[in-house]
Order: sequence, then C-alpha cells, then structure tokens
Amino acid sequence: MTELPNTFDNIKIIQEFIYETRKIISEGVDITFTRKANSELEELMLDYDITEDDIEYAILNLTPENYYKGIDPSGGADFSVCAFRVFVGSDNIEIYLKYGLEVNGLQILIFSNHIPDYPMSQPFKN
Amino acid sequence: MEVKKILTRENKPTDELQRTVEKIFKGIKLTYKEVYYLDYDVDEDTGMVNRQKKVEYYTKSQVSRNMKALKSSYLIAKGAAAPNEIISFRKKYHIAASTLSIILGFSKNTISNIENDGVTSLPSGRLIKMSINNKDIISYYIRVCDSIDNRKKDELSKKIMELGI
Repeated sequence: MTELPNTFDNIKIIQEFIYETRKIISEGVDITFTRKANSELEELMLDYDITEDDIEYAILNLTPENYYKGIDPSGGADFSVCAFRVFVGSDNIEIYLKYGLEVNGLQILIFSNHIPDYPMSQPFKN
Repeated sequence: MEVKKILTRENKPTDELQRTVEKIFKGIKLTYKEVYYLDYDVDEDTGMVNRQKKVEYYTKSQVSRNMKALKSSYLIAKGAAAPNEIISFRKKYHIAASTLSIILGFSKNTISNIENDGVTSLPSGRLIKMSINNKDIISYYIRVCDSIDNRKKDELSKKIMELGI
C-alpha cells in the first residue's frame, strides 16, 4: 500500500475519507467484514473481549493522526482502501485496521483488524 | 423455516447462509454455527471488485451472532453448561426457565437468555453445569430459595429424588 507523504493536501484527503465514513455510519449503514477480518476479530474477542462494536467505535473516532497507509491517489478503483493504527477495547489494544469505502455505493468493508506484526508508524502524527 | 435475506452491494437480496465451523483456540477444539452471505470478491490491495468470483462476507449483525456462538462454544469447552443441557434438565423435571433462574440466584430471564443466545459468562455457566449435574446441590438451592412456595419446593425436590440426575 502507498504511504502518502505528510502534506496539507494529503491530510485533507484522509480527513475526507474519515468524514465520509462517519457520514455513512450516521445514515444507518452497518460495517461489513471480509472472511479474514471476521476470523481476526474472533481471535481478538477470545483474547481481549473486543467486539464488532469496538471496531465501529474506533472507526467513528479516527483522526488523520491514526493514518498508517493507503488511498491510491490515482483513483479508478471500486473501493478506496486505507489502513490506520488504532487502540480498541477497555484494555486499549493496539490494532492494524484496514477498511475500504465503496466509491459508488455505501459499503464500509473491513479487510483487516488484528494486532500488528511489527511497529506501525503514524506519518501524519505531529 | 424462512431464510433470512441480506442485500448485496448491488442491492439485490441474497440468502443468509449457515455452516458449522471448527476452530482450534489455545489447543481447544471449538465447534459452532456461523452465518454469512456471498458477494463479489474485493481485492484489498487494489480495491477492485472481481465480478467473476463470489466470497463470504459478514454483516455487523452476523458478526455479532457468530461471536456469541463462538464465545458460547469456548465457555462450554471450559466447563460451562451448554444451552441444550439446560433445556434437557428443565424438560426432565418440568421446571420453567424463570424458576430455574431464581433457584440458582440469577434474575428471572438469565436462563432463558442463555438458552436462546448461549453462555456469556464462565462462572455462571460453570455454576449452572455443577448445579444441574448434582442432585445434592440443586436440592439444597431449591430448599433455601425464598422466592418459591413450599408446595412447589416439595414438588421439585420429590421429582429430583425420584428421577435422579
């Protein structure tokens, strides 16, 4: 996945992505999980009691500072895909959260939600 | 039974599907039923939809139901009572779910919720399992229960003694 450089315009792109997600959820659309994301969430639930509501809550509270990688600036894809570093649940478990927004539709598709395999940077932090 | 419908990305209704899943977690084999639906595959790197291939997806509500089923299966593997064990016990002794709840010290709807949604707490699940598998424990709890009358207590205790556990 591409890592967008820390520029004013790129922060704006991520801000719009986050804003669009919030808008769709506030209109009553539920998040959808891929098979991989569902299986990862099962592990998080058994180990740390993390639920689908915790994932949605994390999504609703994203800021550009959480940005890790993604959004292909060239466009043309069916989904805009972006990954974030977030903390979820009552124990504040750090996870890698990757999801896509349907470009010509309303689906919010969770591709990945798992404990990161390596330290994650946050290029838009500070 | 009527099959539940889910709307695909193209707003077309599709059947909710069900299958039995086996999962090994910390060396424990867990078996549970999961629900899902099919829609076109999306490449998570490119964000492109492949209209030649359909794969499994899970709505938030399906994930919630699957998680409950998985958690219940995990707790049962760790010694909690399974919903069908509780149902069999109640049927054998003709005890209402609300009565069993009260006898065990729970609120009125706990047993009924567990029977419908699965076990959610290991300590409660283990207490139920121990109680319904031990004549002395359940008889004692019936005897000391303040919320049922003496006639009912006698009737239940007699049934347990007659039929055994």
